[in-house]
Amino acid sequence: MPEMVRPALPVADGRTVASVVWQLLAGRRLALAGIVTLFVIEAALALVFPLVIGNLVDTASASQGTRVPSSFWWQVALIAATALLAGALQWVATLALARLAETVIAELRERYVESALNLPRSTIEQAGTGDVVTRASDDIEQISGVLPDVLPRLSVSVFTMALVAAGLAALSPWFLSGFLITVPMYVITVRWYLRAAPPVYIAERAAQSSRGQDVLGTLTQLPTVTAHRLERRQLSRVEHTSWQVARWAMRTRIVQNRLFGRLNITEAIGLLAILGIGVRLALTGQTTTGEVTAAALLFLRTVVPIQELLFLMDELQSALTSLGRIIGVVNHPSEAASASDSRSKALVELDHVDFAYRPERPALRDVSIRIEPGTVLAVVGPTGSGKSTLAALVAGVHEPSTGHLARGVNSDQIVTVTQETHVFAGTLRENLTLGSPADDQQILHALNRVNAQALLADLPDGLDTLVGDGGEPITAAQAQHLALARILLADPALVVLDEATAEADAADTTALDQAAAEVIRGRAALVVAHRLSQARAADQIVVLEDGQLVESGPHNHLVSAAGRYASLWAAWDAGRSTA
Amino acid sequence: MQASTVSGAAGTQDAVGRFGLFEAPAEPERPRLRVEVGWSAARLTRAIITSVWPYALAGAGFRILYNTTSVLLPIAIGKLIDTVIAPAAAGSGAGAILPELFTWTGALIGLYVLMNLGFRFGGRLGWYGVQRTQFELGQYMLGQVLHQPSIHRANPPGRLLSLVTADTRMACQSVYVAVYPPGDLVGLTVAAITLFWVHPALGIGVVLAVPVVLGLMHLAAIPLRRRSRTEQAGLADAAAVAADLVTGYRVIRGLHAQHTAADRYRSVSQKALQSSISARSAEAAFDGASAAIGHLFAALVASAAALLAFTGHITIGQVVTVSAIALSLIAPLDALIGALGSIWAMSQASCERLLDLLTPAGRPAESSIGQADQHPQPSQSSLSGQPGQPQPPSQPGQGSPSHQARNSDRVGHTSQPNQAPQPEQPGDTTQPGHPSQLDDSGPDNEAAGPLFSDLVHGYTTAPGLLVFDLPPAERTALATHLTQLATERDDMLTAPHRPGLLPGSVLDNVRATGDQPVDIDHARTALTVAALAAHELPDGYDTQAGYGGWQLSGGQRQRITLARAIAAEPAVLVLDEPTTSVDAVTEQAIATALREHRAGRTTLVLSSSPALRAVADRVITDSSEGKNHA
Repeated sequence: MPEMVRPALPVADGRTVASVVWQLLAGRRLALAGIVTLFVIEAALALVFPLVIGNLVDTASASQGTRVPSSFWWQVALIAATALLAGALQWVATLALARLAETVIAELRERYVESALNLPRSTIEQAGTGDVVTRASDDIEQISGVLPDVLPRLSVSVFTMALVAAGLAALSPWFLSGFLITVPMYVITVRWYLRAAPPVYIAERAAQSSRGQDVLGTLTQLPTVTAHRLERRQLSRVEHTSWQVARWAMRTRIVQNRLFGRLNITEAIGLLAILGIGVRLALTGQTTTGEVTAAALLFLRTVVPIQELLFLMDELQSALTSLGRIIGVVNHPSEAASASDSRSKALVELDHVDFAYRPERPALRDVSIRIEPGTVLAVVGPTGSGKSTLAALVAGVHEPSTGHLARGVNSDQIVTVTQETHVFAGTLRENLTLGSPADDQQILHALNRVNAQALLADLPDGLDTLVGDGGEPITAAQAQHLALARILLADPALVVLDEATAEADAADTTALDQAAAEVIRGRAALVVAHRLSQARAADQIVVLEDGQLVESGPHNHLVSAAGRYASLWAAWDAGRSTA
Repeated sequence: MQASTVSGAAGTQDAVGRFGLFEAPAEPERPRLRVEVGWSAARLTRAIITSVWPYALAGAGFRILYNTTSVLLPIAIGKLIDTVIAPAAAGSGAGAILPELFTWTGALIGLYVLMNLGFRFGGRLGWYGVQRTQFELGQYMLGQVLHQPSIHRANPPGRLLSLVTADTRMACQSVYVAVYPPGDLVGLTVAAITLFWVHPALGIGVVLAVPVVLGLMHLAAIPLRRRSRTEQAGLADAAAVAADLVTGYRVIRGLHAQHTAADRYRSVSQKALQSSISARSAEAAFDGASAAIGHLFAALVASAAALLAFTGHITIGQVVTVSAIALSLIAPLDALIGALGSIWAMSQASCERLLDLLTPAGRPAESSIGQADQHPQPSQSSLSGQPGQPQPPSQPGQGSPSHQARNSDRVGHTSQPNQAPQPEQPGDTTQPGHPSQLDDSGPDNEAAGPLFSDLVHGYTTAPGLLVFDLPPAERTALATHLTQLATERDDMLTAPHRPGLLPGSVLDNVRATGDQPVDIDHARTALTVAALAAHELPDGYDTQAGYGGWQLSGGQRQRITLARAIAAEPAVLVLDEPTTSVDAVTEQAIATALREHRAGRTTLVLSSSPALRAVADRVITDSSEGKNHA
């Protein structure tokens, strides 16, 4: 797949991640240390069992039957109490950790959403919204799933191993050496795994996402699939990608199995080494049966923590990647509203402005326009002529590469509606009051002015109807009516309509164009005109071609000038007059 | 996309090395899963498991091996301590213990080897069974959805997606129920027998204690299961709202509403936090309780063994064996109680949802995966007959009754007045060779069918570019009628109004009609007709459209789908509002090129665009009249 030449959204490096996480933990660090201590104590308690059993073995060997020593009952009480205490500690520590970690994660995801929404518009326009959405869903989910468990599991694994090593050393330094010979083997296994596993996991995830796209693409485009007889094509595509998912799932399982196999072999070697050392020490009278028993049981206690540690590394790697992607956005500077320039009399004035997304391909060249208060400027031109770029410059999304741009209003007094519609999951009221608070009467008045009263009447619960994802379906045209109603409620000084009525079905075109006309009535506006009827109603029209302004003036003036606009209008008018 | 997945896969395989035994074959095997409509969830589960029975059985066998050797391992360690360590510690010479040392070391090595094999291949075979049945069930469900319009009409895409992916996956997890529990049960049995063999009291005690332990753990699990659902819902809410808000980024920023939006998210996130903390509390209680119960159980068994050793009933080594076995019982108990119960419950619920989808009232019973792709469907062939060989424009496609109704005057005269639809005699309007086209038009269409059938009949057989500029209600009804008609006629294509892009490049999308991609030159020509220049797109015609193609502008999406309809080269092409998202200048270019490209063939356009009207051979503004316009 050819890579898009797009600047990606920022990703934080390891140091930044660490410092942001450290800040997030401010005021909670002591609590966290306490929780880790609880987990460590719990890990230590797990070692009581093998040591007590080893001691019992020695007592039993010494007593040679018949008499139960009085200490026995104390030891039974000790291991029973240990079991209960370990359970209680686990409960308390897990609970405390959940509260702490979940709160931190909630804070992080809230900061992410806030930062993502405040990213400079030019950054998003160039990186695309896809990545921001993926981070909001997949990466947040990844972090929530993994991070809360990481710290306790990590500390338990590490401390169990340290304690086992200490316990073995206390029994005999020789036993410790039996444990230590397994360490390089574990290191080799880990290095093998970290080399072998990631590419397989990445391939599996790629296969899954490819399948997901195929299935979702097929299901969301069923009318197209049916109309173009694509049922068998889609089914065989999904068959191919699904089988790839199955194959990669098998391969990840095989790699995991091999990891288990290697760990299992290392465990066997370690156990045999400790038993062999035990035999050697017993022969020379340096140890007792009970000590060998305790050493063997202690060693077996490390098996689970080591496996945990390895599987943890996997998850930790992907969670840290996600964290880097989240924090990259959180740490990105947000866009500041640019203040008005009091010297400028026009609302917006562009003076010999050039603009380029990429230096080698200028999008606008030497463009000069003025938008006076209360006037409407229409922009006409073929696709790719720079109409939307001009609208974005006026709205303050981009700054000119060269030339001068002056605004007589703050950029937050300029409201933009593009042809991209989105209905937010929530009530209709919530959708409408997004830009500015309004009471029901104001909302109803705005809906009436944009011809959306019929929409309201169709909804079962009026303004309280749930719309958006999972709610009542709203068509793209209806969504644009709502977007226009929002402008009325926000009541800005300047409106930028970038093909705002383009998504409509023909049936809705007239209603939507009327609604747009109502919204810009008595207000300054820049309208990227998509139907020439919109241009005709404007005070001024500019015609763009290939990034350059080729004509400008009012409709009648341009028609009589017999230039580019006049020929467009002639063709348009001819089609209309046949009605 | 696919090419890169395949080549990437090959590269990765080189880096990792061979995957060895039981790697999935390169191509899927012949499907074995059969599904019948009307089955119960349990019956479907049985079919899922039996469809992969060789893998489930072999996997279970290996798991039994693993669980058995796990239990036998402590016995070998105990034996080694009894027969080697204890005598050595008591002062025996090295020579005396050597045979026993070799025996039990060998036994330990042998057990580790068997354990290794059992774990690795048991899991692998079971996993393959799950993957395979999941693949088959997924394909079956998707086939049903695609070939049965009644299913996709009744369900939104999101729901279908979750059924085809999540529920299929969950339903197939039931294979695990065949693979893992037998091993766990055998392991527990071997453990009980071993303990009984060490001392009958221990065996009996454990057999009696196990159900108590299981019961206690089960009790501890109840609140967890209940609350984990709330947590899942809460978290899904938080993630969904985050994604929803960020998706609407342009709308929010256009309004400068980012602070309101962030505040709203905060309240959802805080609610999710509360439910997630409550679920985690339940989980913590369960973890703590099950850890305490498990360890207490092991402690009691070990203490009992020590007591027996003090009284001389069992040996020291046997104490070790019993203690280790007691510890090793915890894992299979956990597995039996914790995971499997909920896997079973969830897979049953998923099976039910899948079966519900397949069984609306009156659906004919019995179909199987093997037949899914042969499900009755009016036409699945390429529109132009031979794939890649479109027919010349002058020659109508197969089945087109071109000899009929050449007389275009008929158009105006035979149509009904623009009033409430009136019933017609079906016999008058039915075309030869397509006896069912009008009777079958479905409930959505009952008003439109009779009204438009006559009108459409004439138009679809005469060459020319016709523009229907109708009032909204009639326009919608006509569009529905023409969509239905196109599913019944091989030579006709009605492009849907909503531009629908499939994953893949722009060129892939334009070539997507029928089973095989259409000729690449036709696709390029069609893109030119649709006025979509390669330099408009970041990677030319190789630009990935992605699902929904949402990084492309609405106008670009619309022109890609227009190009797809043109590239299909059908004898009769119906375009429904093809240029609503295109600017006036581009629209003009499209209209002229479309007329030229479709010369000599039938093209119907539903549109009120002046540009398209201007190039039409005929403009119909009312279903009761047809006005000639040259």
